[in-house]
Amino acid sequence: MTHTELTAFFLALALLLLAARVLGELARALNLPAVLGELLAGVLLGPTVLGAFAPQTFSTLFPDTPGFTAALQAVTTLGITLFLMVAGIEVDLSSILRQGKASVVISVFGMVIPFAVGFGSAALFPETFGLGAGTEPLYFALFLGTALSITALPVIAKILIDLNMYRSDLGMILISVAVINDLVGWLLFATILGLMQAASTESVGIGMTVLMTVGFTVLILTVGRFIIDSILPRLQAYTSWPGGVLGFAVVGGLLAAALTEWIGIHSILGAFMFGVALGDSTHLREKTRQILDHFISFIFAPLFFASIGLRVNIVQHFDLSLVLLVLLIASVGKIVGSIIASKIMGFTDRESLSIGMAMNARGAMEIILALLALEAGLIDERMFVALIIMAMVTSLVAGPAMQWIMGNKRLPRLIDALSSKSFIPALKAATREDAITELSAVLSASSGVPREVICQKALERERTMSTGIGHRVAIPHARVEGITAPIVALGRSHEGIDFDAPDGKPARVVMLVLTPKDDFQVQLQLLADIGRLFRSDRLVDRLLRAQNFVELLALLKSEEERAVAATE
Amino acid sequence: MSEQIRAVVAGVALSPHAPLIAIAAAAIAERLNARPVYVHAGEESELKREKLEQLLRMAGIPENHDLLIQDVDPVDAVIDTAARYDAAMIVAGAQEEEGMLQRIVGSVARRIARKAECPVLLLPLQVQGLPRFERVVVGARFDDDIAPVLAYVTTLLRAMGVRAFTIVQEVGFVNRLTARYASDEEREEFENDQRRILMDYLSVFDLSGFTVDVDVLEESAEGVASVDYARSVGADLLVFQAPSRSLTIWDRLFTHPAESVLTSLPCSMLLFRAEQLRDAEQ
Repeated sequence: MTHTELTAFFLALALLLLAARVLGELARALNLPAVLGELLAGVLLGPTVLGAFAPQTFSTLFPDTPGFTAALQAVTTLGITLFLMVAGIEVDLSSILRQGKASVVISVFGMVIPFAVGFGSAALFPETFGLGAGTEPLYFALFLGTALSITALPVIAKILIDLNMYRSDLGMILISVAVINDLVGWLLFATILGLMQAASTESVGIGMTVLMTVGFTVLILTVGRFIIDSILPRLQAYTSWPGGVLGFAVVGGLLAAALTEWIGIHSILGAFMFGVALGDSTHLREKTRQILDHFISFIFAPLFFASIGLRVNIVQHFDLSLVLLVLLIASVGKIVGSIIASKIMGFTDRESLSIGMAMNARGAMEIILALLALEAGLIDERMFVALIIMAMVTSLVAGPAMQWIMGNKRLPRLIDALSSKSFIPALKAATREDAITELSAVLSASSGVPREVICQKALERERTMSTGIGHRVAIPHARVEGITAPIVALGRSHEGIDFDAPDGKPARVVMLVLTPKDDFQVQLQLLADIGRLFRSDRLVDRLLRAQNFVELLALLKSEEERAVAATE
Repeated sequence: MSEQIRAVVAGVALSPHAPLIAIAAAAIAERLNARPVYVHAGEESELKREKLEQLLRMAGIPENHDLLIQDVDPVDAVIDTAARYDAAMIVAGAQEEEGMLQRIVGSVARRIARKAECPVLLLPLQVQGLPRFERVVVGARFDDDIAPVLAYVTTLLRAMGVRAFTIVQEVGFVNRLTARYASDEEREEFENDQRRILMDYLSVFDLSGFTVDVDVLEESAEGVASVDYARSVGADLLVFQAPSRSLTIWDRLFTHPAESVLTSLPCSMLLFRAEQLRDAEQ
């Protein structure tokens, strides 16, 4: 590079990074994805705005010379490679293999259907979708299928945190589905790129490329993982922290990228799979991962996303009908696919719809995918712009849509689970078993769950460990199928019923607590709420004097407010 | 459960560590009101039996013990004996770290822990003297009902004379992953919430006679989190739940939390299985 080029290069990097960081932070402050701001920075500094209004300044800042272009290209390629390595680290392979059936089913359906929609659309109307010049329609169709089937893990994670849903069953499923999607999506995409490369150079056959992709993946996930897992503890013991491990991670990622590029599959696969192998090691400390993540997310990724705006003139290549078309097929395929799968796995309509909306978010990964496809000549600029807009719109819509569908989820509370029909002012029962049977009957009537089932589950639990919690309160409980929200029956006993409480006092207030079978978190939270309310004798005294259900509810409500005030 | 306790099984070899393990097993057996049963893997001979008996006598093991000599693989010898006696516990001595080769093949103690149907107490060979259980950590994964786990653990710990323990909640990978996208304040709020919920939840159980504390570990992977915690607080016993099946080579390849714990023992470790919970219920 010449002296002028070098000056322009550093200046351009500094400006890009500055604009990207500022707008990224601004987006974050507005609770939008940071990548939106970063993209915008490139659009402002690139041909779309600066190039159009101040072409002289633009060409001085970003000279169109081979040296400058190559240098910028090198930086952004490095950015993508490292970004994918970090994305790979997120994929905890061992944990994924132990995930339940639901995540796998939703993930598979949530990919297969949009893939089919994308593949079909592209195969039937390649010109409409902007098939790149000289590209084999088959690869184009494969690409569009993949591009529509991926999901943005970071976007979903952020939404779940904002909606305070990340510990819920739904939240856990969403995250594991997104991780599986990431893994499958990148494998698929890298294979397509590899196939294209193979077809164009004719150096190796298609079968060989697939074989090598699979071979590399298997090898790095077995031997590679084992080696990494053996090296990490030694690095942590004998080298400076975090220098040793960080150096190892970056070197390993680059080596894997070089290896995959050399054997004819794309370098991103190497970096990504190395990340997966590294992230799976239990020896990789969260702090180390965090440093790596920050370094890449705050320096390389903003540069990379901003550089996209430099390459493509968004206005010039904006094709409204294509944008709408892509948006439509992307959303329909993903949302419908996810809803079908969620319904099969027994989620409610509302939950299924919100799973569909969340999975529809494409985020930054789509943008990387689109750029790689553009570079490979798979798609033209129009399609590239359409994909980027689709990625942004689906990400922006996902959060508000989920919030609107799910409403405001609060922690489950006793007062919300009680109803006048499930209140027994005076229990006839004299024993634990009879009390549970009596309370089961009212809950069975209101929920439709057979009385015997409730009884049996609650008694089973009772045998494990008594539910007398002291202060004359007992809370037999069970998780059962057939209910979607917790329900509680409350009965009072004049004589008191022995529930084997730690303080030896017979129970005067017995609450039978039923929660949905698969949602342990709800049971935990509801029982915790009850445990907190009945910490003293005072509330029981007052509950026993309550004349009717309304009075009882009012007492619980005021106690709940006191408890909330006490913790805040 | 305590009435049904029959035996505490321990392997015994003519090795320098043998007396220590034998003594520990006898001590545990006494606490559990059980009979110590020693198993030696090797060819049976009068001389060998005499040598082993002498070793046990020298270690001060009371007369009311059994000594079995079986000419089979040491792991099978211990596991089969434990099954035959319906043992309350197996006591085994283990190296603190499992070497690289051993991770594939498996050391005797760890192979026992992976397969046994009863709880296995692994004593690190580096620790001298009788095992003490004053600082006890129970690693728990709250992805299923904690009630049977608590019931089982408290019964067992009570029998072992433990008076206080800390339950550490390990956070699963999904929650850990999501937490990475949360701000520090959000994360802290979650952890505090979780700790409060757990404490409130525990008040639902009869834990009389115990001092119980809780902690939430969101930083590292399951298994590793408990090991690190136990090490950092200087615990002398870590109680951990293994899956209800035997641990296989796949669990080592795709590290199961129980395998993470086995790889590097921070202190004595008690590994129990989910099916033992069900047995305890009956």
